[in-house]
Amino acid sequence: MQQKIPVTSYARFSYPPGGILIWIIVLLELITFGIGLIGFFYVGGEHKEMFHQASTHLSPLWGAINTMVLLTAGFFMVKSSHNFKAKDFLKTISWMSLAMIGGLLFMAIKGVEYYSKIQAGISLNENLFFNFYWALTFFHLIHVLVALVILMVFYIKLKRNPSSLDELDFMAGAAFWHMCDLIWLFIFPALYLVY
Amino acid sequence: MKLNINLVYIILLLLTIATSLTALANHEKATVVLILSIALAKVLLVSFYFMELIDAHRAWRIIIFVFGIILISGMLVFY
Repeated sequence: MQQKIPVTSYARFSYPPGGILIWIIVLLELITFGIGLIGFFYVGGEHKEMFHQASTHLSPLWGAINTMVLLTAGFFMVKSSHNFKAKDFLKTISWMSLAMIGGLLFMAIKGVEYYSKIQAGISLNENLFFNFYWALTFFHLIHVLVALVILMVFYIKLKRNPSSLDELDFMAGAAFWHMCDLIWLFIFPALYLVY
Repeated sequence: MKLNINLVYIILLLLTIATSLTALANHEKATVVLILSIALAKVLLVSFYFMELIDAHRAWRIIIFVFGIILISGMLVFY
């Protein structure tokens, strides 16, 4: 007879969705970006007029569209996770594919934005505002790319042999994907809307 | 109260539109407080519902909430 493992408070703390290690990574990433954003506001407070002028080069509309694209991709990933837990692997793959398309669309929109900035001669050295803009958004974009690679690995594993993918691993990958949403939800208002 | 995931998604989209429209008004401190508060609300919705922290140990929810408050406060102090 299978013995029931008591669900203690400590065990519940040690096993958040995706496991404790991914949550340590999520917290460290949030702290890293958080420090960057507080630095952005600190410098912005001292150069308010320049930050205001520089922010007029960014399109809040496209920033909002990209936010919605990322949130939609996150929503698709939630659907994928639910289907993974229900062991409906076909639907898991379908929703995950949609999430990946969302991630690619986000990167494409960001690419167009970067291209327009480079065409306008706005580089990393333009001014302090754009120092932060390039650093924060590019660092975030790298995270989206890594998340896409993780989902691609899951996709291949699910196609070949779904049972080879552990639920904890899947949820950890999903948590990394959603972490990109969390970071962007702070970056978007700070860079595109506040100044 | 636990919200339906579809409803959470719609709320997130509406909050994104609301934030963008708020930013059109002006750049007074009160507007910035509102924009950043909405951002915090969205972060909590994503972490609690998309990342399923709502079912995790309450310490994780407190950690994320406190982090969000500290970050938003830090931003506002320097604005």
